[in-house]
Amino acid sequence: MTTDWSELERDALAEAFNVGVGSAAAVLSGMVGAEVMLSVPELRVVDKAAALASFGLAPADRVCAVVQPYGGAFESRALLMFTEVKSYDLVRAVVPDHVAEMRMGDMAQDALIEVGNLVLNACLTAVGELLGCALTTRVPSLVKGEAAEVLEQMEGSEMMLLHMLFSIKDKDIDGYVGFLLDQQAMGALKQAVGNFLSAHL
Amino acid sequence: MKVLVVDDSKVARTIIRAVILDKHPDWSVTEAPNGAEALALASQEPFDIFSIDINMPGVDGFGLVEQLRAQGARGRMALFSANVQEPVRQRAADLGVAFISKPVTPVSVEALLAAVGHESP
Repeated sequence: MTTDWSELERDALAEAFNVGVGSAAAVLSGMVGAEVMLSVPELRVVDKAAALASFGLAPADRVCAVVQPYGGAFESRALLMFTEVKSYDLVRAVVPDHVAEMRMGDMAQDALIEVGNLVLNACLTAVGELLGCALTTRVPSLVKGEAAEVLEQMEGSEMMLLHMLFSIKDKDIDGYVGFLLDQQAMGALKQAVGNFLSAHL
Repeated sequence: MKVLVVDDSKVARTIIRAVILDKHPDWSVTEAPNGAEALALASQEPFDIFSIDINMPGVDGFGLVEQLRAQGARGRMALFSANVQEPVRQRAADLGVAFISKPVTPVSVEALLAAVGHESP
């Protein structure tokens, strides 16, 4: 049973994530020296058990996920997940060509964590600023494995999912931003969104 | 003054409308959730100011600026977007329209009004 969100509440959160992804794209664009093309992000709230289907992933698909613990008004974890294949495309896009050829193995993990840290911090900052609450991030880590195993390791019963499709240097890269929240944290988030809407609409 | 606000976010449209009407209660503000509706509305009546989101389903903000102009729209236009990359800002400049960074706040709406020549910056 997932938390019930009104259309307006989803809209407010999607707009906050949109601002976060837009600011992350600007930094990524500076890193790669090219425009990052962005799709319109789509926001969904699902049970953790239903998250894989929402991601369009099979349980055994190999994925890489940057996991970013955060605290403050809501205590939980955010993650940015790619299929393993797409994660290589992303690394090749953000790491200079000559470096990628020489040290792909060494650089790949750092590059993925850097991108994940950037995108997730931007999203958390945008949500925090919108709602007027501070969210503090901790050190991110990289988790690899089968999609079902990776999600199983995460605490929290509900996931807020943002599917973003971005393209860097003609490579299409599907990324999935997920925020894992237990019911108490989801309730606190919903209350904060309600306060924001009451104050502004 | 007649304003058309085009954004797929209802929250963004509502805040833009509220801030404009708070400052200019005699203006009229019309909302469109996408480019197709914006084009239909602009074909029925002239607007003086257009606030246009870039990242929308269907036609994006850049395409909408071009299509509005092609159908004769003469109002001042501003792109109001979360996509703050330099190439995006440059494309807005190339089109001759103002670029305002989201998030939508009273301050950024005032910047929009200043950019289209209706408010002190």
